[in-house]
Amino acid sequence: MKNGGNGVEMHFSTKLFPAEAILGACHKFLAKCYVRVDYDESDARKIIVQLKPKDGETIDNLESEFRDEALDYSVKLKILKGTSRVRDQIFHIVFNPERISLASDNLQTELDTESRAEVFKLNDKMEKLLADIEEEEESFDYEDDPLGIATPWEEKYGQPDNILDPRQQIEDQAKKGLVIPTLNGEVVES
Amino acid sequence: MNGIAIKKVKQKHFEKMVPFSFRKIGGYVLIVNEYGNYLFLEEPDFKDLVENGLPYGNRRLMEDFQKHNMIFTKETRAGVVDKALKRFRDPAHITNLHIIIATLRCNLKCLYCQANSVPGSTHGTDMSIETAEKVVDTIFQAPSEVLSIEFQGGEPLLNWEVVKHIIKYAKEVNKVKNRSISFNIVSNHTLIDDEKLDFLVENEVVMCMSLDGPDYVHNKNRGDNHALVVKNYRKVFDRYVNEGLERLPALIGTVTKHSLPYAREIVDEYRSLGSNSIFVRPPTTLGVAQKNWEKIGITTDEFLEFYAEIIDYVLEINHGGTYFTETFAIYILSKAIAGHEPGYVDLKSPCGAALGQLAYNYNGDVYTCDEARMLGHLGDDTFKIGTCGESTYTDLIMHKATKAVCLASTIESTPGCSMCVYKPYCGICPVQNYHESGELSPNVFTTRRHKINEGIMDILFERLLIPENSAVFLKWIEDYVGKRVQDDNAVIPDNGSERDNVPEEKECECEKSN
Amino acid sequence: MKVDFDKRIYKLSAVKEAVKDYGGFADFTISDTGRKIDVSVENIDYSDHENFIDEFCNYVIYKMGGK
Repeated sequence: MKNGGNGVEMHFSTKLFPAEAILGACHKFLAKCYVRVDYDESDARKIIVQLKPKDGETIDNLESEFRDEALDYSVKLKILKGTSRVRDQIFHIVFNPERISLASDNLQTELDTESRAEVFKLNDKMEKLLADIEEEEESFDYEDDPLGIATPWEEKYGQPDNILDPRQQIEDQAKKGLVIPTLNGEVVES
Repeated sequence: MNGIAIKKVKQKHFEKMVPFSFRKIGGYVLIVNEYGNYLFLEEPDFKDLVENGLPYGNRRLMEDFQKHNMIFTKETRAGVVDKALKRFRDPAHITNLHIIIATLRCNLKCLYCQANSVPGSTHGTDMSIETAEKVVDTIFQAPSEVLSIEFQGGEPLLNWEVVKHIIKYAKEVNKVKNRSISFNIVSNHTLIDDEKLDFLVENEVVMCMSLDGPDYVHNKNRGDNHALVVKNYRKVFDRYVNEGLERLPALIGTVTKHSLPYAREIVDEYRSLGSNSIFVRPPTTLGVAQKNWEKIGITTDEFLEFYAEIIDYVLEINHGGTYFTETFAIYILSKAIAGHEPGYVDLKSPCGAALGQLAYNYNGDVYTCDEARMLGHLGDDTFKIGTCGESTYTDLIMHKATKAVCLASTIESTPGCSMCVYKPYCGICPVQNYHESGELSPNVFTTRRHKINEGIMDILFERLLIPENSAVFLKWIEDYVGKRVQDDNAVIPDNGSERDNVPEEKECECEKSN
Repeated sequence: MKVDFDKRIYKLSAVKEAVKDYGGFADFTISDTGRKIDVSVENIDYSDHENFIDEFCNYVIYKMGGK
């Protein structure tokens, strides 16, 4: 790639920045830059990225922007892979074949009230799957858990009224000074 | 990472966490799990999380993670799974929004009309009574218990007899089908008269009308009819109020080049007409709008600057003690703050095409969505999936175009979207993508929608960090969710938890045709 | 003109897809040389050949998808 004078070349350690993360970061720059990615011929632990802004595109701080993006992608990839087991467990419940089968059958014909109920009537099965997960959870290292995070919330503090209550969410933020804690009063008039 | 120096990250640090993504917002790090729970972290806390894993020594933070479903534990799993179910598997409303083009004719010539309407005197573009009945018969094949029939155009009132017939016929059919059915009409309101108003009130038809702001904005976009529209809106509004109808006429505006200097004036115009909300959206590049883009078009940056100005002014109004909302903000924040799925087709994954809405052209042709129908008027029937009277509902839903659109609008598998922090709140429009780029799945970073949605969410979450604003947003969401839950009042029978019974949000995209 | 893609970074399928989509503008020859995928581009039907190659390389990255 001919460097028009305003391009940049960067080197990334594959130990910190896997090729997948580099390519992910590149995606965001494809509209504005010409991008080349290659391994360093002299050092296989390094990836070289060349960016050249397209005609008419000016990007301030191109190098630092790309480095930020590459770091973001690297961390997100680690999160993606690190949380894959939990994701699989959740999907196993949500997309288990029996649920899909029920929903698909109902797509073919009109749903009557009874069959609609069937679509959602999966509590027993879900419980079984949750129980399976519970067994799996035993493999988690709760010994490293001085707060007892594995102990049900109810056992420790009693059941909160509603953990998804919007007020609860805002109040949580309030603890960190991000929002005002006095949310009970009417702030506006209807 | 935007100034946060991360040194080492190990994937095992996250193995007990619910999948999440992050973005730096206003000096904090916003983390959002895949199912929509969010949490702001201070930068050092986030750095500690990714470098060292869960902070077991920090009780406050661990409680935060647990209460906000960021960790998958015995006590959070039910909440997490329930949110995942709501997000990924909700067959209860397939398909509930049915958009009918009673006529392509329109008596106005708006600069941003997406619908390629034809002049009022044109022949051959009105739906017939026979076709209308076939459309209604198709609609009732959809399994959704909640059916919403929306009249678009053209100006629907130009084919009034067919509009009336559809409403009467649908009600007749519903005596056997027994669905929850509602009607909406998207009209420019220049043709409303007492006879029409009586019928609309009697049948509780929800009315939606375009108003772009004061006359010096509105008339530039839509022709010299501001005075008439305002007069008719007041008449209709007063009548609906006096009759005690629950859903009052709504106003919707489109932002064009002419709107940009007048954010505050546009809001004030809505307030002066008794409206307590505004819905701010940019024009699309479909239909006539594309031809007039030089006159009306705005850049994404211009739109976002305008949106921020609107939001800040609306917040200022609320801080002054007057309740006034912005609808797009409610759709997004209701997902984040209340875990509520508004069902708005533009912010779903997969998008609302076919599964959430179907569009019926005046001749009975069926499209995956109204945008697809508009594309059809431009000569591209890629997303036409059948014809009423010939195709069954199953044919429509199993059509290859339906499958393609669903696949292309699944945000979880879209490069550039799948790891975005706003993934649970956002949506993709493959039809718009196809129109703009020729591809169903282009590089999202090149699309207008990506830039606008990301920008809007940045604006909203930045404002959410400010205490006074978050209290206002909370009030909006409480009112919105409370109303919706009360409206629909549905409960999952098996696990006893309330489940939002959410139909597709009414689009009321007046500017498409009126 | 020639351009190569390291197989530790690029998938052959992505390169092939890009070649297919760009096939109407030039003659492409793909060869697998072990660690690299070599692409030879001739008869480019576009005035700025270098720019054409730059666009093609971008398109290969786009075809690699990403998360």
